[in-house]
Amino acid sequence: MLNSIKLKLVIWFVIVFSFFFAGIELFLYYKLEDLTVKLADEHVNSEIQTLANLMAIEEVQGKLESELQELGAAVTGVYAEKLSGHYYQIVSDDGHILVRSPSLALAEESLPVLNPSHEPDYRTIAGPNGEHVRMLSQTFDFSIGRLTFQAADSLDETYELMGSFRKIVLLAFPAVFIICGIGVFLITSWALKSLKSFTAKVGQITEENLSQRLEERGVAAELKPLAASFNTMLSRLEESFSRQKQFLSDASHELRTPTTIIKSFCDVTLSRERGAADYKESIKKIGDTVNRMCDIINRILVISRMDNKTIQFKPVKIDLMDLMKDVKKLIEPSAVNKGISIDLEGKGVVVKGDREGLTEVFTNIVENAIKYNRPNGTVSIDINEYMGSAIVKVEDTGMGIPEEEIEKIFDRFYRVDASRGLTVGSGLGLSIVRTIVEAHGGKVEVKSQVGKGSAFIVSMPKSL
Amino acid sequence: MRILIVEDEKDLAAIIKQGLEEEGYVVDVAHDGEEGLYMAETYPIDVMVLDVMLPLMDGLTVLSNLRKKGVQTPVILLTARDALIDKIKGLDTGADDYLTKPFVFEELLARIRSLIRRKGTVKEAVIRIADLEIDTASHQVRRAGKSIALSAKEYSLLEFLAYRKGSVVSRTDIVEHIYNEDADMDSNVVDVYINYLRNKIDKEFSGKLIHTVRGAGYILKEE
Repeated sequence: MLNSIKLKLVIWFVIVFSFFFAGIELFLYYKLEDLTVKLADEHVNSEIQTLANLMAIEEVQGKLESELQELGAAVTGVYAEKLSGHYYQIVSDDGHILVRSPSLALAEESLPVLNPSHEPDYRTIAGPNGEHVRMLSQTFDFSIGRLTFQAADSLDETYELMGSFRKIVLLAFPAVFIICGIGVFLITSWALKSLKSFTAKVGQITEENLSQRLEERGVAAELKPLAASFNTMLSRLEESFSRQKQFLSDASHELRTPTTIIKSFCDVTLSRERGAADYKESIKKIGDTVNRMCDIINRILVISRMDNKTIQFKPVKIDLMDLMKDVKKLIEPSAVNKGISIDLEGKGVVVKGDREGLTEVFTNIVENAIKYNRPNGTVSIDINEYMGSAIVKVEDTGMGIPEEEIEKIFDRFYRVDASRGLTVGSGLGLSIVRTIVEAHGGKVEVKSQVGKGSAFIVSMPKSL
Repeated sequence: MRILIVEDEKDLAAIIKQGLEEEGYVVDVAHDGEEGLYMAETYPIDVMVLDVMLPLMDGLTVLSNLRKKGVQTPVILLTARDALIDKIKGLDTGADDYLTKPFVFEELLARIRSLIRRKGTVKEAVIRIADLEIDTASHQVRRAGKSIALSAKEYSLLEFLAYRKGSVVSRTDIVEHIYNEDADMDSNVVDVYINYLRNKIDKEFSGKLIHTVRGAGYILKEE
């Protein structure tokens, strides 16, 4: 659940959006505060300038004293109203308050007296009504001495405004949070819908219907590569499945014939009492057939191991001439039985490879050359090198292989002899040959003329 | 009864032949399709056991050629494939029965007996003529409840006559069905065996069952 794209998207989006929202709100809040303070500053400043200018004019006319009286009483507007939030006072050099705006005087209040300063001194302080005020003090020089002008404006209205702004924001925040979350949820749901139907389609594919493919047209652009690679994977799976199935069916088919022979020997032999010689004969036949089965099973095992790449070749330097001499020695008796001679020519060429594997390769090829030879024919083996490759050519004087069958003879369980009245091995030999040679980085080629004979040519890299 | 085995695995053909011969059948063997077709056309075969995968000509082709030529010999197909489609194809080509390798030998015997019965008028494994009982499965012969011991050849002859009970069977017919192509037999040998059979079956019992039809052959029937 925590690993859901949808959930992650919602969480991320809500977090990012919240920060963004909060940032904007904070920025606006402080900007507003700043702005109101600035406005208040301007207001108190202009008030002080007005007062100071007025006093300067009165001073020139010599009416400074009377003006001071007037400023304390004959004022109208916001300064006349008791505790209106707009105040001023003028303080003498000795700290004595000379004049108070009626808004202060009526309440018997005053602004806190500060030290004289010719520079404007802005402060936010607690006002006479317990309110927050912005106060400016500035000292000017007059003929009667230094006078300090103080003016203050209440900030409470602004603070109230900001308070409600804060409230609105705090209330809006969870709502925005939820709306944003739901919105993202819906959008991602919609976006992931095609993925869902895609998943459903994929889910329908089982071992039984591997031939099905995902529709690539009409799929969202982002899913197309996925569908395509899925289809490629399906193709590979299907191929390997059918190969495995075919192999299994071929293998069991191969084992059926010897099984039938063994079973029939058992059934018939046990059907009545017999002499020891009969039993002996039966057991011998069964033994021969079991050997044949073992051979088939071993080859099936070799192939399946090679398929799973669990066979590890141990490469050593091997002189192919020496190896071929051993192979020849091993096979010659069966060749002699058919009156076939084996000629070994060429020179020693060293390759790097697995001794057992290569022995298997050449034993198979030479055995085939004898098996498919005509009586009293020859098998010519030639070992040579050509452009850095070792070339082993095994030629027979047999019946040859029709062109259309040449590729098929390397297929597992294929038997070229099925149509020729010959009974032979498992049909796995050449498949093993090709697999082993290719594992050595080499290749096997066949040249054949029907009626004249075939040549198997194995080429593999020479050892340096 | 004469049976033709067409099977390219020589060991398998040999052991089936041995088993069938021990059951009193006369057996011919062919190792490829062409030879099998030739033998099936040439000899009076009672049942043919035909492998599907054969060199030179596969079993189904042999079968369809036989049927085209009007040879109605009952055929049991032997195959290593047990796919349904193969069975259907085999039966549609004209096979009478089907056996998948590996098989139990007893089953092959039972199926051969069943095909032999199907051809004739007898529908049971035990053939009865008057008080004579011939169990074709166990090869036991009884008359009037008394067990009679017969040699393999005598049994073959009796069974052959019994399957055709009530019909006249010629000497040539008998020879051809109880000897295979390897035997060089005179039809006089039939008279010799008929004589043996009469001694065992008719002599000590009341009512003759084996009759000679002059100039035609023999017949097994109630008097």
